[in-house]
Amino acid sequence: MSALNTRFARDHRIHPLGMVMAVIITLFTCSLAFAAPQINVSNARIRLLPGDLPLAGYFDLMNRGDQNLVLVGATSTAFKMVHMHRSMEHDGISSMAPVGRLEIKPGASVHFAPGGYHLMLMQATTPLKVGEKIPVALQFAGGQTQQVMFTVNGAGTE
Amino acid sequence: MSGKFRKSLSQGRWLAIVSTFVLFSLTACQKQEPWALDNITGLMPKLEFNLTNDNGHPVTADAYHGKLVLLYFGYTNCPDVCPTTLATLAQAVRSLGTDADKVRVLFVSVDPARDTAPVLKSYTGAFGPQFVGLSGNEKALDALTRRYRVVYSLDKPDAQGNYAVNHSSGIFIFDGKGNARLLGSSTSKAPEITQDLRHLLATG
Repeated sequence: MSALNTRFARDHRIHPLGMVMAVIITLFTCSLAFAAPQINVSNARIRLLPGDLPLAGYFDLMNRGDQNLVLVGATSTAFKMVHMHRSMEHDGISSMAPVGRLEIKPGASVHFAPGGYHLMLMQATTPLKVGEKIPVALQFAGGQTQQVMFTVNGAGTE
Repeated sequence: MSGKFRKSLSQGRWLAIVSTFVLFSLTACQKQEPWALDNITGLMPKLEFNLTNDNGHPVTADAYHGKLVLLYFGYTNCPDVCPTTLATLAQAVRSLGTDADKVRVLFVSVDPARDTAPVLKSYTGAFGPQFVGLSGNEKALDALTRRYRVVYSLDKPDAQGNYAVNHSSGIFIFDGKGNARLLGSSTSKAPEITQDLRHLLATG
C-alpha cells in the first residue's frame, strides 16, 4: 500500500506528505459520514414558568434513517419526571392526554409544538434560568437514546 | 396564425379568471366585518363576577371598568395550551405600545385547589403587568362559567396526584363598559387580536 502510494505520488509529482494528508482527510470524512445521526433534532426549547410548575418542551425531530423510529419517552437529570403528552381541542375544549409511543417513519418528521405534542417536564432538580441549556435524553423503542440540549426560553415565548 | 389565436385566447381566459377573482374578493370585502375574531356583541351578558384576585382580595367586574378586558379560563399546572395562549395574548397586548395599559387580561383559574393567590400572582406576572390571576370557590366559578357557557372538568389524578383540567379555550373580550364584544380562542393569532383591540379602543 505504501509502495503503491509512493509510486503514485512520484508518477503524478505529488508530494508524499500531501498524499498522506489526502488519505487522512478521506478517512476522516468517511468516518463522519458513517457517524451522521439517523435522528435529527432541532429547535429544542423549554418554556420557563415561575415556581415549580410543569414546563413544556418542544422540538422538531426528523428520522433520517431507513428504519421506523418509535419515540417512547424522555428523561432529564434536570427534572424528576418527564412525560410525553398531546394537547387536543374538541368543540372548543382544551384537553391533554399522555402519549406512550410515537412512530416516525423513515424520512418523516414529527413536531413537538404548542397546542400539540409536547414533553411535560416536572419538578426541576434546580431552578432553571432563561438562556440555559438543559440536557434531555429522548428514548426510542429498542433502547436507543439521543441526548439533546434544550434552550430555556421565557414564559412569554412560543 | 393559429399560434397567435391560441395566445390571444389564453390571454383572454387569464383576464376572465383575474377579473372574476378581483370581483369576488371585492364582494367578500364589502360583506366582511371589521373584526378578525368572532363578533359576539349582544350575544353574551355583561362582564360580572365575584372572585378573589391574585393579592387574595375579593374583586368584582367593577374593578376593571374603563379597561378592555380579555377573559380566559385555565390552570397553572397546564404546561402547553394555557401558557401558549397567554404568550400570544402577551404579544398581542405588547404590540399596542402605550395603549397596552388600557387592557387587562383576566386569567381565571378553574383549579383553585392548586392555584392559590401567590401561585397565580407569580404566574400571571411572568406574562406582563396587564395580567391578573383570579379564582374562587366552586360556587363563584360556576356562576361565571355558566354565565359564558364555559365548561371545565378535572381529570382523575395519576399515581403522583397530578391531574389535568379540561377547559374551554375561548378568549372573551369586553369593552370598557363591560359589554361582551368578541370571542377568540387559543388558536387565535397575536396580530389579529392586536388589530381587533386597536379597533375596539378606537371605536369604543
